[in-house]
Amino acid sequence: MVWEAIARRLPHIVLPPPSIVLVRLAQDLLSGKLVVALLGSLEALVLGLALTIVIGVPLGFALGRNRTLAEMFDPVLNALYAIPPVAFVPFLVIWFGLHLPARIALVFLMSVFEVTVAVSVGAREVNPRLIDVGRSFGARGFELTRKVVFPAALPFVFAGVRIGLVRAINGTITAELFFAAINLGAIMNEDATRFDTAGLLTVIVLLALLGLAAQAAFARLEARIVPWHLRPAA
Amino acid sequence: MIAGGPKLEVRNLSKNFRRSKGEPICAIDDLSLEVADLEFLAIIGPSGCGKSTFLRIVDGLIPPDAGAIYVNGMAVTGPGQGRGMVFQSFDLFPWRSAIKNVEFGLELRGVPAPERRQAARDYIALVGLQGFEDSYPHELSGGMQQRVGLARALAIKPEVLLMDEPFGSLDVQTRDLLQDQLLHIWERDKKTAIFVTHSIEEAIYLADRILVFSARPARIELSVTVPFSRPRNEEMKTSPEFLEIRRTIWNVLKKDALAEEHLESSS
Repeated sequence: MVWEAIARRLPHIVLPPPSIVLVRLAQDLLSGKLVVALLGSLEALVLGLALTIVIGVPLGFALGRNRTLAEMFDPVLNALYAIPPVAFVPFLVIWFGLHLPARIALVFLMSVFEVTVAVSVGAREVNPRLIDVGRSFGARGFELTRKVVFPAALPFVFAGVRIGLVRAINGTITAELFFAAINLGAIMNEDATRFDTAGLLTVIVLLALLGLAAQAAFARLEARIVPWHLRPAA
Repeated sequence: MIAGGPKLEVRNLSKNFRRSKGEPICAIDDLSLEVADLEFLAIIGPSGCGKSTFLRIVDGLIPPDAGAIYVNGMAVTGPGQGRGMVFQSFDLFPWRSAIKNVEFGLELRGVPAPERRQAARDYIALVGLQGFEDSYPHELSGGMQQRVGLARALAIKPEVLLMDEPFGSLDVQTRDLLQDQLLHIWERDKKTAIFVTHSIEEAIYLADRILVFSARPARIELSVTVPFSRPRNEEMKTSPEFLEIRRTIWNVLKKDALAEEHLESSS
């Protein structure tokens, strides 16, 4: 409403009103243009995020539960975490080229640290009394991790992956703009060169909707898998 | 098993805790005791006297510096052999339903799923929680949670049941009710039991024998055999004998409490 009110007083090129953007969104979705681009973008997003989960979650557990590993790798991780992932783009181009592998690599780089750090905090903060219970009943080693540490830290895994998901969406678009322009990134690029601000905003709105939908879906998944976390025992 | 030997024997147990600064704290110094088969032993002592540490060593959660624990005459090291623990703060796994919590120890022992499900059901029924099998801990009251904790420990059919101030975090009314329920359950599923508490009444009401621990390092100051027959009932709590035992134990505890108080006010 505020956006509409302000936009109506300005030339459309400076800020297109939402009415126009929404119509455009509907048009481009129906014509299939945005759908194809979106599905293309999702490929790198899903693969990159999957890689992040496969590597970040076990790494987080290892760092959270093993003090020696934590002392060795925490400083490295924190140092890498502080660097904007875009700074790695030239290297990614040299290593992975300009296409899907490079985009996956950037999505991975942009999301893996959040997931690793969140999981390692969760694994470290597992209530030691629950670990005692596990040990008292005879759980040791991997079984203790699987039956006690992992489920206890699962809410943190969800929190980490949720942040990772948002960062991965970020990474997908960044990659499509920085490497060979493709999918949603290509549309944004073209719209930008043509000063088609309505088209540009359409993609941005679509991304916002994607982010919201992904998080909502994720929240439902979380409520289903870790229901105890929503109302923790006193 | 040695016929007529004690169910549980603790021989010359010592435990020190290192501190980052200063002298190590001696929690337990050369402690020996025996618990007979199916005896209900209560251990009482001033707070911080090392009675919980003692129980954790007996359970195998922490290793002693010296001494040994024998169950049926066999030395035990580490947890998971013939001892089941009920924890002070219930410490149920919040991600498991009541029945799944009870199944936990059986899972670790490789009991097949249908069998352990049935066993867990039986123990849930024993502690009077039929209908709450699929409830999660956060949906249960404190008293109910601790009954699940008790069922979880009993389900592994321990030789010795260890209870570390199991009712310590419950309100007085719930506590009284649970004492009766515990006795009732214990009559039906008799086990050698060690019950750590800081309530004198609770110790007298529940136990066959009471050991009074001194302040750190834990030593046995007094051993009292409780003369009441079983099943116990509320009236015993006001009998002259009960009050007499209560006074005897309090006199020993008071000495340590006063010493502690004095230490704190002078430091």
